[in-house]
Parts: sequence; structure tokens; C-alpha cells
Amino acid sequence: MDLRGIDAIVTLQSSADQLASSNNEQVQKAEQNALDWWSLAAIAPAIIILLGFLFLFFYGVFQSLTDLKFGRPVVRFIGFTNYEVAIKTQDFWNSVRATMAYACSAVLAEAFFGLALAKLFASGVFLARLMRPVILLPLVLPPMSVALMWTTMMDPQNGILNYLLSLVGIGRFAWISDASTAMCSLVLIDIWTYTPFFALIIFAGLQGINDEIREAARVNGARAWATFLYIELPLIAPYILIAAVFRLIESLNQFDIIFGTTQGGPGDSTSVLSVRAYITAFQNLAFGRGAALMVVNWMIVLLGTLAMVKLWRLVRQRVS
Amino acid sequence: MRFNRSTPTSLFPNLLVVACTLILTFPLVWIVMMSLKQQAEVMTWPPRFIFTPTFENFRVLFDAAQAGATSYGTIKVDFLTPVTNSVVISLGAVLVSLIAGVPAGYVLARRDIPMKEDIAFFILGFRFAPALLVVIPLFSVFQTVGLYDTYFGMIWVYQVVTLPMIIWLSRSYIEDIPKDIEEAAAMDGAKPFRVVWHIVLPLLKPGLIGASLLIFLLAWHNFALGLILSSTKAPVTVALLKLLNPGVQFYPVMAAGLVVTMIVPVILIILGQRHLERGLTFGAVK
Amino acid sequence: MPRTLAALRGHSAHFLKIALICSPLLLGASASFVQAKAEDINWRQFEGSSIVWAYDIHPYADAVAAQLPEFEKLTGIKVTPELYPDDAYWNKLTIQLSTKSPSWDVVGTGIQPAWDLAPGQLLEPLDRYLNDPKLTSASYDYKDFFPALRDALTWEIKSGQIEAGRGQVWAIPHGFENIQLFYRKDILDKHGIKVPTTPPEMSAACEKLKSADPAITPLGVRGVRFWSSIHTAAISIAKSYGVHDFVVKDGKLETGLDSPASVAFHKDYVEMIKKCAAPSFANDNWYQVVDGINSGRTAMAIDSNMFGFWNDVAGKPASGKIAFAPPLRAPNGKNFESNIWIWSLAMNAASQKKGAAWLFIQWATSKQVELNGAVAGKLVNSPRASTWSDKVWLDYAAKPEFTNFVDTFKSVQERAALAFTPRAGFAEAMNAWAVAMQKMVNGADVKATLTDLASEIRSSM
Repeated sequence: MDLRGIDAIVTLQSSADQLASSNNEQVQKAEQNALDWWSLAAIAPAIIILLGFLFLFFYGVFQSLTDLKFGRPVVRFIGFTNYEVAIKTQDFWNSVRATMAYACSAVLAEAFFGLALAKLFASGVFLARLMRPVILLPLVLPPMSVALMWTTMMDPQNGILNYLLSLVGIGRFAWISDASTAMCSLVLIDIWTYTPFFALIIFAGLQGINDEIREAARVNGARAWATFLYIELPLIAPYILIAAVFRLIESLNQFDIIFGTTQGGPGDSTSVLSVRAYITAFQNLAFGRGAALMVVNWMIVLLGTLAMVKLWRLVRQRVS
Repeated sequence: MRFNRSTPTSLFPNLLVVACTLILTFPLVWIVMMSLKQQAEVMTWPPRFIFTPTFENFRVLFDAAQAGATSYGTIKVDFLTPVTNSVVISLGAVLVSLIAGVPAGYVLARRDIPMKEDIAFFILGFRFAPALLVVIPLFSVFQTVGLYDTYFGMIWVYQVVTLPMIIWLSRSYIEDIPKDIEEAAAMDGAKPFRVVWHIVLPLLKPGLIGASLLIFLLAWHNFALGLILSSTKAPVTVALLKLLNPGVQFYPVMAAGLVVTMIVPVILIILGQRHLERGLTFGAVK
Repeated sequence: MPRTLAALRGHSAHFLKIALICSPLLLGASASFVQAKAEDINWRQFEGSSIVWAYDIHPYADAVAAQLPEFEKLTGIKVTPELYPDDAYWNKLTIQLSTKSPSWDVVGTGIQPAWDLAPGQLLEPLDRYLNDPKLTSASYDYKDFFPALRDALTWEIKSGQIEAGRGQVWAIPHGFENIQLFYRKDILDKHGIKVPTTPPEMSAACEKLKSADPAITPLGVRGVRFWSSIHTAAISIAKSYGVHDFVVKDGKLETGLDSPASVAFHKDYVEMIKKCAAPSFANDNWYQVVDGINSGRTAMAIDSNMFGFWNDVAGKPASGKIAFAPPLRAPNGKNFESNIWIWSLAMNAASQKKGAAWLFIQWATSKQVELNGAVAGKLVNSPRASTWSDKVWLDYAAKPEFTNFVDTFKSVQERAALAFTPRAGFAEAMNAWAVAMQKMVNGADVKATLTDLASEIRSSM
């Protein structure tokens, strides 16, 4: 579920295109006023498939209003009871907190490290050019494989990470097996996996900056860090933000990495909404309640995305 | 910034690059090493870096006739089945997505249909829906329709991931092709269909290959859909999880499984590097 | 319901004692019975069909799988075993059956998971097959299974709930286990540690062991956030503290997990886990427990008794080093308690090859297959009285490498009983308990956590 960089870039680009192509469209409109049956036929299969999913999506929202449960033949419509029951429990709020904590800390850290990585690899040093393909590596691996790979490395008794730490004199600790370190360990895995995603997009942004601008700044006597802070950073800020939007959505929905490592444990320390929903629906067979949790998760994703897109628009306006 | 002025051979940035490369590759190297170790060797402390490699774990992974022994029973993995499942489902998903998605992408890029921007936004919206919310009702639907645990059902449900992606990618690729070429051909009297088939498609080919590789990877990565909607047709990511539960003793076999799931994307990168790179940098550095 | 349970325990203890004591007599009787009704069913009536049998990765599965060629030769039915590791298996089983997928014909289950599956008509009631002389061989002798086990797998469904004790047969037992404390004699002897009998004693022993050898995990127990970590050590010890998962209060079912007894139990138990269990407790399932005791990385374990047996088998690295004791009890309690678990074979209600599936279940739980599996050192704790009266098995189990296995089995089985209240919704409530346990081990307040747990369980009743 990654490689979303491509998507993000495409979005950036096509929204730019939309601004540019409005003139052409008008011309085109004049040419083809009649309904274009060929076009409709061409787009129909895709739309039908996707409408099918849309229907399922609303069906899921509907299920969240029922007491659907496997092992019980009758299904009743119960309104918002599932939601009411959920918000009264501490576990629910704990899950909401875990979901946000995971996503926010991962995205922030990734943006920071991604920026550093991009700067490093944009510097054009000899080894950077040679090693560039390596950046892609974590992104092309299945997240489930990544999760299991880190599980073996974070094993409290035999894990290599504990060994490496012991080399620098740090005692063993339990990583994902201890409630106090589990969340940090998961975020660490997320950072390892998706920092390259930020790096990739920021790298593209950096390459778009005209060298003359930098040169001008240098000639004017600006210090290196000032050039970066006042000239480069504002220019690549939209790139960072668009990457952050996609990563935020992804990590608010993150399931693979958490399910593959802790399954929400120990205790409820990493029980994010998606994992809780899965367990509610498929281990406890309470489909209605599981669906309700997913709807809440979706709301959070929606709100988070809207906020980020607003921010992105703001930054872009200031830049241009 | 300092890096910008540093010469290609300055020591410090080069060392930093080496450090980053190490961090990014070390887990993989470690897993490959683990997959070549014997069961007893993973339980030793300190962990061993030097050992005699063995392919025993890969044999256990693929050998359907003879199982891997542990202190609590034997485990027959038969990893070839999930690998085959993943290949079939992913290829099928790519194919269906190409057939349904590229025409849609073309229409969204070039034609004028009612509510075009709404449709485009609708398709983009699929990026925001949590997959599980679709899967929970899908589970009941599959159960009644009989699509549970079938290739057909899996390929169809993977479209929720792959189809929006291919539509967006192909739309952007097509917008990239100068319109004049098509218009010139149309003026020469070529029918719209022929224009698309003979002129647009060949120009689109490199982009589509890149896009196909990308969505193949997306399909290969998927876990949640297969976990819930399949059993004997489960993809390789779900089969991997099965290797985790038996614990430390079975780690080398799991590592071998990890190597298999990871090697496919790596091979794809090597094979299609040219196409993939274009796909990856597309839009940003056009 | 408690009455049913009491009856159950009476049954099991009583019958096993009889079985063990009067074994030679029983052997003769049942053998002659078989002789008299020699006419057999047509085993080849489903020749050519092919069925899928799903099970845990487990020595029980190995024991049956090893004999599969004989079944295929006998019936011409091809059986494909599909084995999954524990966590994955239970999830898979629930999903597989609730989708009404026909792809699994025969499944392995325990009583408790079956409680959750039966009300949704996901399991096939087996009476029809048991009573059909065309389908069930006279020599099968269903009455040969211990009555307590038979009763535990027989119940009626009334408005979606379980009424245990009478009704239909939902599964056939093919191996059962009681919960014991088993330990590495060599390790305890080396450090001069006496086998503990209560959680506080255990905590003290663990501290001593840890200070003597920090590399050793003193106690192996399951801790996964799933009911499987409750049904062994936790419920057995809890019961001796007077904790009940459910009690009948004013004619209504009510959870007993926030009772004062429960608070007392959890305080001791959590303390013990903190001092004794591996740092990976929260991820440990029975595989890790077996691994630990086998490799000697853990000194003691509280879990199913045959985990010790398997590794005492001659040729294993730990052979002869593992000894057995009753599970821990409350410090002020008179008696220990031990939960039983019955591995059973059940039929998927959606199977399209039910005849062939039944032949397989029947064969896999037949006297001969049970006995062969037991003597192979794998299908230990056979549910059939006839195995326990068979000299071949009794001689085998009495071998010196199995230390005090048989004696401990006998004394524990006297008190062993199903510790859970029969009830659909078992998994949901017990999963919540397992999660609460992890929270408490991580330092959450015991009383508050139990109050939350109880209200969570109530909200879904």
C-alpha cells in the first residue's frame, strides 16, 4: 500500500494542468456539443466497477447502524447505538488516541528525515549518485514483509537490534513486546519504510528549483542555512505538504504494519482503530460494531485530509 | 546549503550517504543472512554473522512432500501455492485495470463528457476510503454471491486499489502527449478510434508499462483484502503471517519467505528500471 | 448452569478413575463386544471423493496425518490436511465457517470455540451420522468416549444460547488435556528450588532463579491477546481463587470477573507474570511455551500437560527431564483446579461431502487410530476409555522418561473440569479478558481494569 509518491506527484501536476487547460477545453466544447457516446462507453466499465465499491461503502455505513453479528440469524436496525456504546468506553478513546499518535508522529518524523535525505542525495556527491536507487528499496517491499522483518529484529531475546544496542552499552529492551515502547517501535518501522517516500517527492521539488536562484542568493552573501530557510524551504513546502497529505491518510489507515507486529498489543497500547475494527468484526464477529469503528476511522481520515489540503492551498498561494 | 557547494568527493557527505545506505539496507541483508541459517543458529546469543549457509529453509518453504520439524509438530508450508495465487491475482488485477482504466483515463484527459471533473474527483476519492470499511460489507456480499475465495472475486476486489491508480496515471500520461498529433491525424480523415489505436497508444506504451509495474507492486503488497476474503487463494502476504506464529524456532523459514516476497519487487525494479523510473519521477521532473 | 458443570466434573473424575482402575476388565468387555457385532459398514461408499481437513499445527494433527495413507487405502477418499499456526487457525476457522465456504469439510475445534460456531448453524450436528448404521460402524463404540467429554460436546441451542448437557452432538473428541505445572527437573534441582504451589511461591521461586541465572526465563505462560492465553493457566488458577467467568445472579447471567475474588487473583497472578514470564509474554502462544521447556530456556510452564509429555519422548533433547505437578492454587485455597480442553473434530455445515467427512471423523477418532497416535507419543490423553485400559499405551506411558506423567495425570484429572460457562459469545468475552490481562501486566490498576472489563463484557451480553 505504498508507492503513493507517484500518485501524489500526479495529483500535483494534474491540478496544475487543470489551471492551464481550461482554454483548450472551451475550444473542444464547441467542436463536440453532441453527447459523445463513444466516450461514455469507454468510461463506463471503470465507473461501474467503482460505483460498485461506492455502494459497498454505503452498505458498510448502513451495517454500522445495525447489530449484525455472525452466529445470530436476526439483524436489527439500531440507529446510532453502536456509536453510543463505543464512545462511552475508554478503550475507544484510547484507540482514537493511538491512531492519531501513530499517524502524526510518523508523518512529522518522516517529513523531517525525508527532507534531510533529499538534501543529502540532491547534493550530488559521488556516492549519492551511485546509491540513489537504494532509496526506493523500502518502498517497494510489501508492508507485511517489512512488519515481519522488524518483528524478528525486535525480538526481545534474540533480536539483532538488542545486540546492536548492547554493543554501545544499552541494555536489552522489549521493543514491541512492552506496552511503553511498542508504539515508538511501530513508528520507527513506519519511519524506516516511508521516509524514502518523502525523500523522493522532496527530491523532485529540489530539482525543480532553479540553480540561478540559489546562485543569486549566494552572490548576495546569504549564508547557506539562510538560503535554505528563506528560499528553498518555502519553494518545496507544497511538495512536503502534498506528501504529508498522502502519508497522513495512509498512516491513519495503517493496518498491515500494526497487524503484522503487535496486533494491537500489548494491552491496548497499539490498538489503532483499524486493528480494533478488524478484531471486533472478525474475531468477535460483531460486524455492526466493527463497521462503526471503521466509519469513525474514515471520519478522522476525512477531517485530517481536509485540514492538510487547506494548509497546502494556503502555502501554495503564498509561494506563487 | 553546505552540500550544494561540496564537491562530489568531500568526505563528510559521502560518509553520511554510506550511513543512510547502511540503515536502509541492513535489515534486508540481515534477513537474507537469517534465511540461510540453521534453526539452532538464530537462537544463539550473540547473533552470529559468520556461518555456513544452508538452503534448508527454502526447501522447507517450498517442499510440499516433506515438512519442517519443530518441537511441537511439523509444519508443511507449501509456499508455491500462495506465490502462484499472488502472481495470478496481481496480473489479473493489472490486466482488468488496464482494460477498464486506460479508456477511462483517455476520456478524462481528452473528451468532454458531463460532470467530468466530478468523476475525476470521485475517482480520486477512492484514495481516501479505508479499505476495511469496504471489506466488512464485501465479506457478507461475497458470502452470498459465492465469490469468497475465488480468483475472480479477488481480482475484482483488488480493483479498489489498482483501478483508480491506473486511471489517474494514464490520464496524466495522455495529457502529456501533444494534442496536435491527434488533431492532425483527425484532419487527415482518420476515425477517432483509429487515431487512438495507431497514434495515441504507441506513444503511451512506455508510460503504461511503468504504470503496470507500479500497480502490480501495489497488488503484490496488499494484505488486508486477502486476509479477509480468501483462504486457499490467499496471497503471499497472508501466507507470510502464518510463518510468524510458530516463534523464534521458525524464524529462518519465515526469513526465507520474506526473501521470496521481497525479491519479486526487486526483480521488477531491475527488469523495468527504465520504465519504472519514468513512472516514479513523472510529473515532478517532466 | 453451575449444576451442569458440577455434574460434568463428577462424571469425568469418576469415569477416569474407573477406567484406570478397572482397565483390564474393561478391555476384555469392549473387545468381546466388538467381536459380536463384526458386520461393518461399507467403507468405500464415498470412494473417489476428496476432502479438506483443517487443524492447528499440532502433534495431534501429525499423529492423524501419519496414519492417513491407511484411511485412503481403506476408503478411497483423499484427505488434504490444511494446518495453520494457533492464532491464525482460530481466526481462519471463524472466517471460513461464517462465510459458509464449503472448502473445509472437517475442522478441528475445542468445546469453547464450538459454542460460538454452533448457534449460527455453522457446524453440522452429528447425531444423524452417529445413529445411521450405514454410516457408522458398530465397532466405533461412541459410548467408549469418557462421558464427561461426550457431555461437554453435546448441547442444545435455545434462542441463540447454549443449553449444555443434552441435545445434539456437535463434535467428536480426539484428544484432551488438563492444565498442569510442568518443570525442568534438571534446572530446578541445580538451583535447589522446590516446586511452587501458589502464585506467591512461584514469584519467590522466579526471583531466586533469575538471580541465579539471568538467562533463564523462570516460567513459560501464554500471554497473547486472545482467549487462548486465558483457557490454560489463567482460568485454572483463577478458579481456585473462587473466580467464575459467569455466575447466575437473580436468575440472570452475570460476569464474575470484577468480584473481590477476581481482584485478589489478578493481583497475585499479575505479580507472578511480572516476575516470572518472558519479556515477550504479550506475543507468546503455546508454541513459545513448548519451545522454552524443550530448549531449557524456561524452567517451568503452566499449560496443557502433554506439552511436557511430547518433549519427554525418547530421543528428544529434554527427554526424561520434564516432570509434572498440579497447577498453582490460591494461597488460602484447599485445592488446585485444572481446566480441560478437548481437541475435537467437527463437520462444516456447508461441506458438500458430508458422508466422506463423517467417515474421516469416524476413522480419525476410532479406537485403533487413537491408540496408534498415543503410542507414537503424540496423541496423548486419548478421550477413549479403551485407550486408557490398553496395556500397550499404559506400558508406554509408564516408561521412565515420562517421569511422573501418569500419576500426575490421574491426580489432576480427579479435579479437572471445564472451567468456563457454556455460552455463545465465549471468544468475545475471553479475548477482552486476555487484553485486560496484558494491560494489568503492563502496570494498569487491577481493580479499575477489571471494572472496565466487566462493563465491556456486560455491554455485549
